[in-house]
Amino acid sequence: MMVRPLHSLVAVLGSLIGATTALAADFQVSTALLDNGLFVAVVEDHRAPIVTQMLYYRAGSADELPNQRGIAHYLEHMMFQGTSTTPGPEFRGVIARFGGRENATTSQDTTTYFQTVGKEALELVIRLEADRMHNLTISERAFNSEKEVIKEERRGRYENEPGGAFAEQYTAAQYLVHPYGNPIIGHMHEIEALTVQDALDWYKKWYVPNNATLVIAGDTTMDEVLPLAKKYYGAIPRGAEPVRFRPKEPPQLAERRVIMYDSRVRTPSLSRSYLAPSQTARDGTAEALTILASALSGSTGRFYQKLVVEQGVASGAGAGYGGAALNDTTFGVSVSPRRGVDIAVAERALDAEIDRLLRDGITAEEVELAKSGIVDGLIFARDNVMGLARRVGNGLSIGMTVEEVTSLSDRMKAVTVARVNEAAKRVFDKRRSVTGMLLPPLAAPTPPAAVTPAAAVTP
Amino acid sequence: MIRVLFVALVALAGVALAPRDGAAMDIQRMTTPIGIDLWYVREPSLPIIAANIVFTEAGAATVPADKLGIGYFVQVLLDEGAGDLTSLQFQRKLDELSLDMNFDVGTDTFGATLRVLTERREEGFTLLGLALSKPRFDEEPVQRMRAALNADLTNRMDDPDDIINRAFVQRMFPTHGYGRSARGTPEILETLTRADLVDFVQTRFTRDRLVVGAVGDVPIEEMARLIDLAVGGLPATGPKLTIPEVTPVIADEVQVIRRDMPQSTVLIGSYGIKREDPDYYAAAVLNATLGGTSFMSRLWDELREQRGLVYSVSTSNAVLEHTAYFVGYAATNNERVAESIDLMRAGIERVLREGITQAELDSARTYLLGSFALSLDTNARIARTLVSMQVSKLGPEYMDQRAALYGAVTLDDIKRVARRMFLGDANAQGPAKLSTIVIGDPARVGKGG
Repeated sequence: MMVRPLHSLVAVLGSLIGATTALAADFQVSTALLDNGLFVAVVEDHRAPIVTQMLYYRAGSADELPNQRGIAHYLEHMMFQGTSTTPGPEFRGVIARFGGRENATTSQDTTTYFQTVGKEALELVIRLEADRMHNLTISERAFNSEKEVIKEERRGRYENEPGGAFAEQYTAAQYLVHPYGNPIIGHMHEIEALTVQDALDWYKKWYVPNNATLVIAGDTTMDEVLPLAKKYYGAIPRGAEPVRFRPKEPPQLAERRVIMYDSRVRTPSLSRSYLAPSQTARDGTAEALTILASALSGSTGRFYQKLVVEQGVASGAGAGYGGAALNDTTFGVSVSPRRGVDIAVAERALDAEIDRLLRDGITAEEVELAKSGIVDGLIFARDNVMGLARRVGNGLSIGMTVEEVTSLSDRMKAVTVARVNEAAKRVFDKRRSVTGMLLPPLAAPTPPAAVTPAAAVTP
Repeated sequence: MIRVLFVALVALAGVALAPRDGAAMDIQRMTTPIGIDLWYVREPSLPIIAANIVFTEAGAATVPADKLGIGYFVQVLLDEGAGDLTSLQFQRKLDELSLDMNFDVGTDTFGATLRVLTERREEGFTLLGLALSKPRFDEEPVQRMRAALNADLTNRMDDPDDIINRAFVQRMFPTHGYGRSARGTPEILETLTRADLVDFVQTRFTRDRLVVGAVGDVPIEEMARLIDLAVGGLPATGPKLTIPEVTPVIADEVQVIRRDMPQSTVLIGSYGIKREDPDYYAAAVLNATLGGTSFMSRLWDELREQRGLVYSVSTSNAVLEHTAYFVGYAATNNERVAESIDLMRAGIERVLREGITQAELDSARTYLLGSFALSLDTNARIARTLVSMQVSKLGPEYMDQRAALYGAVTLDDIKRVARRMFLGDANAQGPAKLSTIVIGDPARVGKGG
């Protein structure tokens, strides 16, 4: 994170194409583009001699074909299993051994690998990450063993968790054809069916420098990063340009309801999602919806104040919007009825608040408060350079520009009350919604299971 | 500037990387005008102040059995009205000023954190002071938060992770406060009164219990003034709430809590090494090697990499103010629970019999030194570290001594600590004493830990 201004430094470096230095309001990012198409961004923070590398591939679960669902996440696991130059155990141990942190994450739109290390290890992590961009090896044995790991991950998140199982059903109901409805990890039978060849095909198609964004954050500069990026990533040839195919979701004409009863659930809850444009729509709706979500949620927000404090029909209520997506996303609202209150009563109260919002509009005071909270939040965000790196990597990976990513304050300040009301009218259309309820079983709950010593269990 | 100094050698030709030998932070100390010992790191590059204020001997373990959960009830009510401000007025102030104010009741301590833009420091620390010294506990927020907590606790009562954690500590500490559920039960919650809330605050939020750390861009004298603004209204002293020292009870058998779900969770308990114990550093090395680190520990390799049994397996030497215990965790499908427990047990037995290798000792040492240095990456985390060092009775010089403390650990130390951790005595012999709990529907779980 930059407090003093960042000097412009990359524009003249020889082998670059279109190197630029962005000068923007919220925080500073230097950028460069390698010959092979790898985009490089550096976010400086010199408070401590620590650096974070994040490598983003523009490939996520929503890019999978129907016969390879789960492969984006599966390949992310296999990326820790070693390369033709560095065997798996060596690869996995090297960063942890000196205290570094590393992990990876797969989303619907991206797959990301990241490490945080002391700055003296920057070259090491760049070398290792570049190595597995093109030298990955996948053995049948490691692939099959990892399959069991992934199945355990899935069991832990979905089969074992009523909330997870419900979320999977609920999300699926929002999309008729768009793959955002699929679970990132894949269904159990889909994971089961994946092969080494599926993984290799995925790797070859998407893991090319021209489909990646490298973000380095921390105690370094583009002057230090660029030679290393060129030395290691620059040696990898450009690949065929992978093309993302995203089916377009047809208009939703009928509201959908998903109701799940589970014996493990004790208190009912209601969630509702509305299809909504993402940041990539670039029509100002995403900014307006970000402010709307802020005004509706939190303990001073409308929903909590009306449903929980004033009416007492709920124990919790909120709203949320995830605008950082490549395609149309969702605006969500939720309510948990207070004990003894029927969930239908809580839902009617929520609907009444939405109707009131559409009828009377949001107030200027609410919009101003939400704006200042978001703008101040960007100052606090500078305390976490990895968070800034994530903003840059995620934004660039869905096609935003550096200027867009770093000008959030200005874009938020420009949102008007009329714009928020317009966005609310556009989104809050019940025909374009899914209402989900996760409920305790209809029958009386089973008595608590007895605690038994294992000696009583048949061996 | 936060100066974190590393002495490091890097050999980039191979993948070998030499250790960070140490980390040092520029810690300033000052006694505030009203007598609070302040630890401070000045960080001029951000217009933010992050403070962490902790009361020792004020956590859930200080609460009698019939008032369980009172600390958590207080935690959620402190920002629901204080001084002249009603709940809504207080919450509005937090929003308008973009104050990030949080409270957290732990097992041993009650903590407050405040993150504030420097230009709003006066209002921020004044409000924190109101919350700590003049909480209102008005009828409306008390009833509202009681309802919210009731829903939360009702869910927790039947949540498998919660059930096994409660069963685990209850079994390890059957007659001690550490064995009780910190958040209480829905039944107890209904009996807690406003007088209980007031009593908790008056007896625990006292200046003699305070430990304070902060990071900011103002001079330390100004920081000291702000701390006094937040805690000056508190009573100087409070009643002594002594918690007895305790050693965990190791049942040395497998307990199964039957639940109809496909994946079981396993917890394995044994003895731990307390923070002030000279063997603490050896215990940290042993734990890192056995299961304390992803990607490089023995159990991670055995269970996840070699056999694909688990998504995650981990161990820790859990340290509390008046005890310590070992806990190992794994989650696996019901069919493979027995195999997983056997492998965890075998890993523990191997450490007990053979200790670890010099290469493992070296790796664990560099991991522990480096990961600590890397954790000091945000102002908020540094403020918390300043507090935890004081709670652990470490001086600022600890930053310079860490490398030597870990460097002094020998392979023989590891073997001795293994006996202390898994037999309960440095001179004992025999198989490891392990208290194992499983929740799920495991097949073929054998007898014995």
